[in-house]
Amino acid sequence: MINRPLGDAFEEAYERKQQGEPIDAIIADYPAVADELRTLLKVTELPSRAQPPHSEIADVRTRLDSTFQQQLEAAPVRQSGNSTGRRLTGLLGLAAALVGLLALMAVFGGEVVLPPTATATQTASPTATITVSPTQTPSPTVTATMTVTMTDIPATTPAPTATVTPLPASDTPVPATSAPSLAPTSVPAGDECQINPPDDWVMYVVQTGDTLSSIAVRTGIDDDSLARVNCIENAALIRQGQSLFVPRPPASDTGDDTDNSGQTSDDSTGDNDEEDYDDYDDYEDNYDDYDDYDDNYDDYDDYDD
Amino acid sequence: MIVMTLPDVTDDDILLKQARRGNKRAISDIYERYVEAIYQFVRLRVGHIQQAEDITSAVFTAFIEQITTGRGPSSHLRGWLFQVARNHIYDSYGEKRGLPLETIEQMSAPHTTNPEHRTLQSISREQVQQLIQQLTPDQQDVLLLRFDQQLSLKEVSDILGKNTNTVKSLQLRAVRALQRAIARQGVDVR
Repeated sequence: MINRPLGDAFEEAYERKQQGEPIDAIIADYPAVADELRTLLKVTELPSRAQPPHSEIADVRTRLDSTFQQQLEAAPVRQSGNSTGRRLTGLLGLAAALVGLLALMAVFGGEVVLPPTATATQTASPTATITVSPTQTPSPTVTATMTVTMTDIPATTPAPTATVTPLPASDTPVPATSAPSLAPTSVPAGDECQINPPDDWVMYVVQTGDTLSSIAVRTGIDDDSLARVNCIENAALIRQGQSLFVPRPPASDTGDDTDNSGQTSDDSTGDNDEEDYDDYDDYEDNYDDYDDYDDNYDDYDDYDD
Repeated sequence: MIVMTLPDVTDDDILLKQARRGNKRAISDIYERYVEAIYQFVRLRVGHIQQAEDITSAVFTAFIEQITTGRGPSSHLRGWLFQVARNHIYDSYGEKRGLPLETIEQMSAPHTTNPEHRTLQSISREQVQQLIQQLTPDQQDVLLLRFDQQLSLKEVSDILGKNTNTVKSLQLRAVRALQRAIARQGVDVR
């Protein structure tokens, strides 16, 4: 219905206009649709004219600012918020729980025909016993055998049980995805600090405007590890010209994530960055209805032409 | 010695990273950087000052809450903020769908003052607002995000959850629809 080439031409033309090219020069490259493009490009200037007056914004901001400041002060401060650490403990918990479960299965798996409630299907699929473990204590049908297993694995059972239950079917991929991110942090840090970078790290000379943080972001490592490897005690004290060891940035990665412009030909990417918004994916699903509504409306629009 | 060139990184990414580590100054800087843009976007979408203020506030409440608990975005900060804003706008549709009646009546009557001399420049701010609000929600989103806030095609496609081709079509339709709405007001765009 909508003319695909015109959509592409309009997108290109708008990008060029944003780069500062005059409209006349742009539309000269699209002779077949020059008139329409000129009109449409002019119309794109209109939305920014709808902005509310400064007085309104200033007024609203005084209230927004004070609310924000209050909320920010009330917000918890995280100590060196390190998601790797949390992931690590999560993994350990999971691993411990798995060991526990294996022990459980070993105890039962051998020859025990399970207590009263057990049926033939349970022996056939060992995963069924996993779901039993967290609720064992209240269950009246479980008797002497249960108490034995609990004492067998005292160290592992208490904490992790809650986290394990949702995962039994799909826990295999988890360690695989988190493992790589742990690698850079496992750099030795002795009492006498010695700069001893991993083999694949390279030398980088600090430039004007660099901060430890900005270098860390660009090389895909956390500040702490970067500082530790380079024996930097005070992150504020890095100077231009100083040499640091950094992980070699992936060559193909340059600008991949940060460059949002000019992706006119990159079309199948709708889902590329879903993980960035994962907390809001659920929301998205709820708005499908609105999308349908729009589509109908759009058809009507075209008809209008 | 190898002197390397590091990949470019946006200020947003650096701020965001500091914010995720609990740096309140960085959170504050992010707010400072985007609060007005978010407010302007929401204000034009919902039309009511108080409602726009509430939604803007909710966006940054969500941001503080998520970023200080290790959730929220780790990149694409601007897109994330606009997406949250948009979600809140859609939530508010249940309460107040469509425009106040008097606005619709005002709009349906074409302006009659010297129609042959009216140009794009002569359209008032309020009129532009009203014309935009006549469009479908998606058309409004794409017009405001792409042509007012000047987000990239990719950012808009992420926010709308549509692929870039769809957004290209959508933005063309939106601009055409706005142009027709202007034409109905007797304004000659050329």
